[in-house]
Amino acid sequence: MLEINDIHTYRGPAHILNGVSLTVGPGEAVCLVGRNGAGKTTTIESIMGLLAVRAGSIRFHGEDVTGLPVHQRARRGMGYAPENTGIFPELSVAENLMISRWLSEKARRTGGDGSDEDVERRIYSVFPEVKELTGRQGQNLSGGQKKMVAIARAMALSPSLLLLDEAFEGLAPVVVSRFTDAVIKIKEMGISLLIAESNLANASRIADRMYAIDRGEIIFHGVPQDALGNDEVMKALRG
Amino acid sequence: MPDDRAGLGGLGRHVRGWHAFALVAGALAVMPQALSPYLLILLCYALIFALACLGLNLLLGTSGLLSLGHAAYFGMGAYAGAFLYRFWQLESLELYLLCGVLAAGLLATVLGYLCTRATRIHFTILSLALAQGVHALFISGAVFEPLGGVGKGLYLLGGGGLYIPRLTILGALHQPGDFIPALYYVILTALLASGVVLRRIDRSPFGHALKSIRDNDVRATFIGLPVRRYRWYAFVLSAIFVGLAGGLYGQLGRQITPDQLHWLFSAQLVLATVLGGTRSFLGPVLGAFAFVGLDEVSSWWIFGRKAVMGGLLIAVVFAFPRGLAGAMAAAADLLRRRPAG
Repeated sequence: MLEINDIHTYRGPAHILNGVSLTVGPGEAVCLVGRNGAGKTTTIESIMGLLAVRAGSIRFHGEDVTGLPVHQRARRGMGYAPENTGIFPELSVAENLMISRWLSEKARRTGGDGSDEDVERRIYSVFPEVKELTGRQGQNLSGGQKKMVAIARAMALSPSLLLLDEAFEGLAPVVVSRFTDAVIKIKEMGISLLIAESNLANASRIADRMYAIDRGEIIFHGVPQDALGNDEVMKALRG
Repeated sequence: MPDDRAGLGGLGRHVRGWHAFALVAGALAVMPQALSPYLLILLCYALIFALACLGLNLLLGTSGLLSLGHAAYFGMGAYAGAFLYRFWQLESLELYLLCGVLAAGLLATVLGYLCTRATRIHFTILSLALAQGVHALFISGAVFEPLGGVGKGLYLLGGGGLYIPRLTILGALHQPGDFIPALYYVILTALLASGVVLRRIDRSPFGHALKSIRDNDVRATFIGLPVRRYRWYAFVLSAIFVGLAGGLYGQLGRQITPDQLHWLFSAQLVLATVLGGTRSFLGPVLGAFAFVGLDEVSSWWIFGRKAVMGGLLIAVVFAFPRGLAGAMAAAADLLRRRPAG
C-alpha cells in the first residue's frame, strides 16, 4: 500500500533523512521507533508531503505521489494526526469533524475512494468519548482529548492509511492503554497504520512490524520481539 | 478570539436568530415613514456600507485575508451598469445591479487568482497594487479610450466619473420624491438577503473550511483542503457582495467616481469592519453603522473634520478593543451572569 524508496529529506541545510525506505501493507500496523531527533517526524511529514523529498520516491496504492501536493495525498486516502494534534482551536469538535466528513462525501460523490459505511459510527466505535465533546471548542480540550479528536478527524476522511506521530506522547498510562485499544480497533477496520513512536514498549503492543530509525537511517526492520532483543536498536533508542 | 456564532454572544441567546432578524427587519421597514429625507439617505448609505463590510468580512474575518483592494469591486459594481446605461440605454435597476455584480465577480476572478498566489502581507500588498492598477485605468481615462470620441468626451466632462440616472425599479420609474424611499427598500432587501446568504455560507462546511484555513493553512492541507483554491473562491464571493453594494451606492448617489476605486476607500471598509469586530457575524454591520455615524458627527466641524473623525475612531478603538460586537457580547454575558433580584 505504501512504499518509500531511498528518500532523502532536508530541513533547511540539514540532511535529516538519509536514504530511508519502508513499506506498509494493507491492514498492517507498522511502527517507526527511534529516540527524539532520529527522524521519525521528518519521515511522516515527508510521506504526507509537508516536507519536500529531494531524492527517492513515495508510492501509495501503486501511484507515485512524490510530487503530489499535501491535500491531494489526503484526498487519496492518507489520514494524518500530527504530534501537536493539529486540531483547529477556534472551531468546535463537531466543526473539526464536519470539514473532513464533507470532503469525504465530496470524494464519494465524484467517484473517489470511499465506502457507504457510516463514518460517524466508525469514529464513535473507536472513540465513544468524542460524542460527548462535539460542542466543545478545540482550545478547551485536554491533551488526550485533542489527540482523540485529531485521530477521529483523520478517520472522518475515510483513509486507507493513517499516519500517527507520537500518538501516545504525554498521556497517562491508563489513557495509553485506551489508545492502544483504539489503534487495534482501527486496524480491525482494515485501515493501515504507520505510527511514529519513541516508546518501544508502546510500539511493541500494537505493531505487526517495526522499523527503527537513528540519525536519519533505518537501522532495523523486523517484528517487535526481535527489536527488543537487538542491542544496536536498544542502544540507539536509549541514546 | 472565539467565533461568536449567535452574532452577539449572550444577547443572541435571549433574543434568538430569526426572532431578532424579524424584529430588526420590521423596524427598518418603517424607517421611510419615520425618518426625514436626509436621515433616510444617511441610513441608505449605512446599509450599503454594511453590505460591503459583510462581504469584505467573508475574506477578512472568515478567511483571514486582509485585502486593501476591494474598492475596485465596489467601484466596478457601479461603473459596469453606468457604462451600459450610457451606451445601451439600460434603464432597469435590476439589470444595472446584475451587470455590476457580474463585472465585479469577473474582475475578482482574475485579480483574486493572482492575489491568492500570495499570503499574509504579500497578499495585502498585491491586492492593493492590483486594485490601484484598476483605479489608474479609470482616473487616466484608459478605460474610456476604446469607446472612441464619446468615451473621451465623457472622461473629459466627468474626470473619470459617470452619471447614473434614476433607473426603473421593478419596471416603475419613480418621481424624485418617491425614488429614495423605493430605493431604500431595494437596499434593505439586498442587505437582508445577502446577510442570510452570507450567514449560511459562514455556518456551512465551506465556511468552516475557510476558518480552518485562516487558523492554520498547513493543518488545513493535511485534512484535504485545497487552500489556495478555497481562498480564491472566498475572494470572488466576497467581491460579488461588495460589487452589489457598489452598484447600490452608485444609484443612490446618482454617480460613480474613481474615488470609490481608490485604496483609501478600501481602507475605510477594512476600518469599519474591524471596528465592529471581524470574529462576529454582525460585527461588520455594527462597524459600518458606527463608521457612517462618526463620519456624520465629524461633519459638524467644517475645519479639522478629518482630525475629528480620526480622534473619534481612536477613542472608539481604545474603548472597544474587541470591536463593538465583542463589547456588546461581553456586556450581554455580564448581564446574564448577574444574580437575579
